[in-house]
Formats: sequence, C-alpha cells, structure tokens
Amino acid sequence: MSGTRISLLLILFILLFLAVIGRLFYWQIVEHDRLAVLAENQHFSAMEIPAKRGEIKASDGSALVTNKTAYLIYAALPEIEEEPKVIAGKLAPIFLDYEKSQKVVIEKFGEDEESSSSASIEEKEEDREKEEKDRKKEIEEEIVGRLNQPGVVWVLLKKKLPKEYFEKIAALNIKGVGWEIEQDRFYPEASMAAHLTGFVGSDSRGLDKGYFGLEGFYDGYLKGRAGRLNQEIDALGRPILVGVRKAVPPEDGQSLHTTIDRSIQYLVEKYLKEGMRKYRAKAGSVLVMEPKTGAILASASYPGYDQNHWSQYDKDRYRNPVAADTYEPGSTFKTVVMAAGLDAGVIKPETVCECSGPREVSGYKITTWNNKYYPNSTMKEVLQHSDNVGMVMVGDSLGKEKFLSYIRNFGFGKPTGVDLEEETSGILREDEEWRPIDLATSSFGQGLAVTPIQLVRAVGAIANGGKLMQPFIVKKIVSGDREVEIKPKETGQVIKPETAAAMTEMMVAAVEGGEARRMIPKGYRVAGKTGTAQIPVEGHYDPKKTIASFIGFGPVEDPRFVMLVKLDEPQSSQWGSETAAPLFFDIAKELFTYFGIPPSAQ
Amino acid sequence: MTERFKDINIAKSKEIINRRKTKVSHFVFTSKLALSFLFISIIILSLAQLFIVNKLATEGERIKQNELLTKKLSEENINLQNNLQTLGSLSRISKLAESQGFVKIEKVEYFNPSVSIAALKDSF
Repeated sequence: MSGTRISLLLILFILLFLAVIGRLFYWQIVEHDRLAVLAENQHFSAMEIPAKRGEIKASDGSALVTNKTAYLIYAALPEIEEEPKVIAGKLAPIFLDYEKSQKVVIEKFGEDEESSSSASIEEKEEDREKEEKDRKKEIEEEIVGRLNQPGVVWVLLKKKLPKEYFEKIAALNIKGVGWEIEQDRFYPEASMAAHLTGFVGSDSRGLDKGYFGLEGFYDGYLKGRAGRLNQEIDALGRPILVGVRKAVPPEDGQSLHTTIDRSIQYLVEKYLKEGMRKYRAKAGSVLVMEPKTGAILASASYPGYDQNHWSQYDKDRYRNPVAADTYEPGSTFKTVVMAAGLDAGVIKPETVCECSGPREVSGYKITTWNNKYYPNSTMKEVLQHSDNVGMVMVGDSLGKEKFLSYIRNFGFGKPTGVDLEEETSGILREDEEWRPIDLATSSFGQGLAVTPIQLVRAVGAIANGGKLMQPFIVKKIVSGDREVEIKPKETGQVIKPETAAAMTEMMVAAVEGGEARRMIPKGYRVAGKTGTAQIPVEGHYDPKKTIASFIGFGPVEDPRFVMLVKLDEPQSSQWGSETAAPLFFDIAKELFTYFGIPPSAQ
Repeated sequence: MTERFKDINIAKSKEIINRRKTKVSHFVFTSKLALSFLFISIIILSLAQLFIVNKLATEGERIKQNELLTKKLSEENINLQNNLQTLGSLSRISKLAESQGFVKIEKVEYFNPSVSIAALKDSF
C-alpha cells in the first residue's frame, strides 16, 4: 500500500513539474516579445528632448524672434477617474480665458473710420456674453468628445498654453490630465517686421513648421533636431544611476542674424501707418535697401498681421507684398528705361524730343499725364516733367531687342533671389509677344508688372555705379560657436559708371525741378522719381484707382539707402507727388539724422 | 635480522603515515582557513555591494530632483531673457519716452567749425 501512495505522489509531483515547465515555456517563449516590451516600458523611460528653434536677430543683435516656454496639455485616458463632463467643466473656463486673451483687433485701412455699428454699449455687452457662453459650451463639448474617444490612450487637449494658464490647470490636480513642456515663438518687438520674419505653424504631423518670410525660407536651419534619452527607471519612475542610459543630445536650430536695422524698421512702420491713415490708402509698402551691398534695412507693409495670432488674419496678409505682389510701376520705371537709353548711347541728357503733342502708336494715342506738352524738351526735362511722349521716344530709340535686354539685365522678369519664401518673378512676356504698343507703354511703366524689390534693386544699381546687387536679409547663420557669413553678391554691371552718374544727376534734377521739390530736406541732394500708375481692372484701366509711388536714393554723394514708397489707391489724392513723395521725404529726413549725415550745402 | 627490518619498516611506515597525517591536517587547516576567508570576504563584499547599490539607487531621486531644478532654472532663465528683451523693445521705449515728456527733435544742428574747438573757447 505504501508503495502505491509513493507512486501516486511521484506521479503528482511529475505532473506539477510538467505544469510549471509548461507555464514557464508559455511566459518565457510564447509571450516573450509582448512581456519584453511591457518590461521595457516599465523599466525604461524614453523621453524626447526637444530642440530649441533658432532665433532671428536684428542687425544690432537684439532678438526679433525668440522662444518662450509653453505647455502641451494632454489626457492619459486609462488614468482618468472623473467623468469627462466634470473634467470639461473644469478645463473649459481656463481655455476660454486663454482664447479671449488671444483675440486681436484687426486693423483695416482705407475705410471710413466711423463705420462702426450703431448698437448700444449694453447690446454689445449682451452679445459678447452670449458669444462667450456659446463658445464655452463648444469647448466643453470638444473636450468631452476627445475624452470619450474609443481605442486611444492619449489625447491632446491644448497646445502652446502659456505658463499662467498652465498653472491654473496644474492647480486643479485632475488625475489623468498631464502636461509636457514645449516651446512657442516669442516676439519682443511685437508684430514688427512680421512680413519679413513670417510665422511658425504646424505641419501635417503637428510639428512646428515655418511659413512665409524667413521662418519659411530658413525652416530647415531654424528647426534643429530633437534628441532622445532612454534610461532605466525604478518603480517610482526615478532614474537608476547604475542602470542603462542612452542619450542622443538634441541639435538646437541655427540662429539667423539679419541686416534689418531695428530702428529704421520701427520708424518706417510708424511713418507708413501714419501715411496710410493720412492719405487713406487701402494698402502700402516701404522698402529700404543699402545700394552698395543689397542688404535690406527695413521692409514694412500694411495691412499686416501679428505673428502670434496669425490664424486670426486673412491668408492674403501673410505674403510679403514687396516680394510676392506685382504691380504696374508707372513713371518710377522711367528711371530704368532712361538709364538703358543713356547706356546704349541712343540718347544723351541733352538729346531733344519734339514732344509737341500726343503720339500715335499702332492706332493708340499716347498722351502725357496732365495733357501738357513741352516741345523740344531735353531728356533731362522729359524726366522732370514725367513726359510719357518723351519716354516713348526713348523706347523707340532703343528698339525692342535692346529694350528687353536691358530690362532683363536689370533683373526684371525673374526673382531677385532675396531670402523670402514667397518671392515671385513678376510678369514679363516672352520677346515674341511684344508689339509696338507694348514697347511704347512699357517705356513709361505701364503694361508690365514688377515687384517692389525688383524696382528697388534696379534703381539701387543706378545708385551703386551701375552694379546690380542681390538683395538679402540674412547676413550670418550661427550655430553654437560656428558662424557662416553670407557676403553681398554682385550679379552684374548693368550700366556703365558714367551712365549711372549721369542718370543720378537727371534724377536729382527731376526731384529739384518737379512737384516734390518743396519736400526735399534742406541741404540734401536726393535722386528720385514719382510715379502714379493706373490699375488695370478687367482688361481696362480704372481712371479713379492708382498706385502712387516714389523711388529714390540719398545722399547722392555717397548713397546710404535706396527706398521705395508705394501707396495703393490713396483716397486723399491720386498722385504720387502728393502722397508717396511727402512720405518718402519724411522718412528720408529721419534716415539722414539716424545715419548722422550732415547737409552737403550749409 | 628480518625482525629488525620488519621493525624498521613498520617504524618507517608509521613515520611516513605520521608525516602524511601532518600534511593532511596542515592541508585541511589551510583549506579551512582559506574557505573561511573566502566566505567572510563574500559576506563583506555582498554587504558592501548592497550598501553601494542602495546608496546609488537612492541617488536616482536626487538626480530627478536636480533634473527638475535644472528645468525650472532653465525656464526661469528664458523668461528673464524674454522680459529683458521686451523691456528693451523700441515701441515700449518710445511710449515711455513720450510719457516722460521727451519730444522729437525737429531741427538738427550739425556742428562743423572751420577752426578748432580750443580756438573757439573764448567765444563761449
């Protein structure tokens, strides 16, 4: 009997032993991969170390764009204990407060300032309260929707939340609601140079991406590369010093040092805004460039936008008009055509034009802007009077091939290469498409479309002894202690230095003998040209709508700046001499003081 | 003679046996000593390892605290830098200047004498 019991016991032990072996086999072999992952998740923490996005600095080293700490709020759904509605009720007021703080008043130009609604203050207050109540409900529903998502463990609740709002959420201590530190862009000078800097939005994966301006053009340089830290942790999540630790350091983004002069940018924006209100223009731009190097010192355009709240603005506002928008330049283009004629030797400053009346070209009648004619005008006088008939003569003297060759050499019809994402090439038809009437109208700046930066660059060549420079904004790219300098680039000698000198004197005479002579700062010699171009609308020119502009450079003896002022549809007066020219000289006066340039004749 | 050889052999054998016994007991004694030493060393080293690992493990908490402090200081640093930049912004300075009664210079005089400053001294 005892022998049987022992055998039974033995069989039992063998069976138990086999069961244990079988279970071990199951856990260690069959479930190995799954358990290894779980163990790794439990014992290892994998953390992405975000890379700092590079800064954008003005020429004096001050930051135009830098970074600030922000918070990403998320919900880990398996850890949520409270009802989604309750959580939404706690979070929604904070998110709503944040939204309210982000609302901007979008300024419009060219409209009657008294066009506000006739609603009383009480009615407006009621509307606002109702709007807030509705929006709070929407936010709550959105949060509830996200928290109730099936099959997910992690949901995003809010991105880029500033510290003061994050602290309120942290104080609520809601189980399952967590946060990560992230970065957001910060603009110490508020919306200054928005069109130049561009803004940072998200790409299709939700990662930061630069759009427009420098943020867009240099996105690859600015964004850097995130690092990674894998380390062994204990049950409480604390790092184990003797454990495994693998770190890949982040590569911070490279910083851009620009040619933008903060002071010039500030005063250009200030004067342009005042000018827009004074002349009631729909839009306006000012571009200031250093003619000897092509460095962009300032560029302002209105309507603009605030990079912090870019999503609240119309998309049309994001593009920098000085590089992205084309327009018919009008009489300012006469400087380029005249320079071409002088350089080709087909005219001289003393060449006389009959100019006694309108000129007929291919059945079209070309007249002057004011229907006044000056018979036997010299080329100098043609420019002074902004005589369209005289300019047609210059164009005819050049002929189509030479005319187009000079226009292309001056950089029209192709991008200038400036480092802005949204630059366009302007509109210059193929040579075969040019008819005699096109040559005639283009001689006085109508019938072709240029960008403001193309025109500034071309006139800059006149100021620079005939050398055409490539405009640029970034002069240095810095990464840690490494620097890459971007040197000024000369793209060609488009006219001879003697031609440039002669053209400069003609432009000085145009200013001193023209409508703008009363505005010249005393003792300074400025070369310039006004422009009043009609705007083409559905195949014809609108007689009431113009683009008023003035282009010039100074001081003539040693040009420090070339500047274009352009106002779209000014309501106070159509004419460049009465709107853009005074604005140009107001800014020029400030620039002379800023650069410390004394008057040449005291 | 044979008896004597027998006695001598026995004595010699006993001597050899005694010598062997001494050697064995010596060997046993030395082995015991070595084993004891080994055993004690293992105990001591194990205790030491336990102590060191425990100490290092708790250092993890300090590392975490230091990491948090570093993050906090880094954040504070960024905030201070940004505040500094905002204080130096041109629009702020311009508004401040206006509120303090500063006005724009309307006319700028450029001082460019044809004689030296020292020579002009008497005229002041």
